[in-house]
Amino acid sequence: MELVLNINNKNVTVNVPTDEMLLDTLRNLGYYSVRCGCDTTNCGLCTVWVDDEIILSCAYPTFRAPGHKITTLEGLEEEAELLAACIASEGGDQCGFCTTGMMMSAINLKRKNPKASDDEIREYLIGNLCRCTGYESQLRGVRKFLEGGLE
Amino acid sequence: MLAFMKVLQPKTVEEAYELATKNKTAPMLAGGCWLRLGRRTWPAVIDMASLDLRYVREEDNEFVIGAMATQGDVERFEPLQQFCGGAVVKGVKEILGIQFRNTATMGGSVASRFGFSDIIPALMAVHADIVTFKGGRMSIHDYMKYRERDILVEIRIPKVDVPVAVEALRISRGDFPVLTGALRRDDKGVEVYIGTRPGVPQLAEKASALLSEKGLSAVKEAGQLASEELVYQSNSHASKEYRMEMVKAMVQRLAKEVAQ
Repeated sequence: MELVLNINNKNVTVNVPTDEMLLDTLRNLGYYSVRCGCDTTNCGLCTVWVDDEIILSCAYPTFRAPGHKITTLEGLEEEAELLAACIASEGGDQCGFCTTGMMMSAINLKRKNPKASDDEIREYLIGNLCRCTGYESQLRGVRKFLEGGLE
Repeated sequence: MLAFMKVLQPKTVEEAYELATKNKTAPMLAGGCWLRLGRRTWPAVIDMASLDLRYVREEDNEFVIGAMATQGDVERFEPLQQFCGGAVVKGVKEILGIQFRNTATMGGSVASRFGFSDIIPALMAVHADIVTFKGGRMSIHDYMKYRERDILVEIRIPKVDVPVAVEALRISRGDFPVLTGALRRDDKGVEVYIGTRPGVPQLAEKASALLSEKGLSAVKEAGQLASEELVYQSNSHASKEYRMEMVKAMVQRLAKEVAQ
């Protein structure tokens, strides 16, 4: 089916199988920040924004996307760069596989609740699983990002 | 994996019902979070996204939650934050992560009638009704037994603000619950609902009757009754024996919360 998607404020025409999920469509278009981890709506690696809400693109059929604003990390470059530096400075990057999905949640949190407490950060990131860090270094990195970034 | 050959996209609830009647094996696609856990390739699915059922609103005497409202929509709906001790919000807030709750729908969660549902005990305790296209309005208890292929349109919750406690026992945060419960106290008495036994949530009738008659001070005895009167089973999350023990503590926690 042919669809027009708005990705990172650009209209893109795609031709996709009926049952394709947004995760696969985005990766096929080269948005490699969107990753597939569990493929069962658990890990948060595939997190993107639809109309400024974080959702799981592995469970979002692409045919539902027309008319909605889709945002990936590629569309948030400036904030992503700062957040990545904050996370790295706290040792929260490790293997990095989960980092892009977690960053989508963290940047969304900053826009909605820029003064989030540590508990609110934990709550917001609970859907982003990480096997390396134990989460504390990521928490420090996100806290630093919310406080304005590197000194 | 969620695989299908064809998507049917009705524009009205009536059209969705007709399609559901004609395509008896086609699943209705709401949030799709659970449907994708299967391995089957469906000949067709019926997409519910164009039915204008994504709403949460407050009316004079009821709260109304459209079937396609996400769990996140309900979690953020301000008038529900304090209603019945925030029972409905608590019923969704512990489910996995925010991005999951922004994807999963209330209609999908209720229509699936999952035994491990966090939401269903909470909706039972606030005396929610379910409105379907063909079957009309019915209590959530009746809906749990309703087997017609029908379209869940909305959830209606009467604005009777009474103390309600909601609890879920999990091995770790963000995991499936191993036991869920809700307790309501109003001028007619006390109702205790226990789910994830792992069957669909049910009223613990004897425990409820005892608490109604003797008050919350009889909570230890009520916990024992709740452990004995309902059917508990083992699955990969917890054993039958563990659930039967833990329900006693859960009833006490629920009673304590309501008393406060």
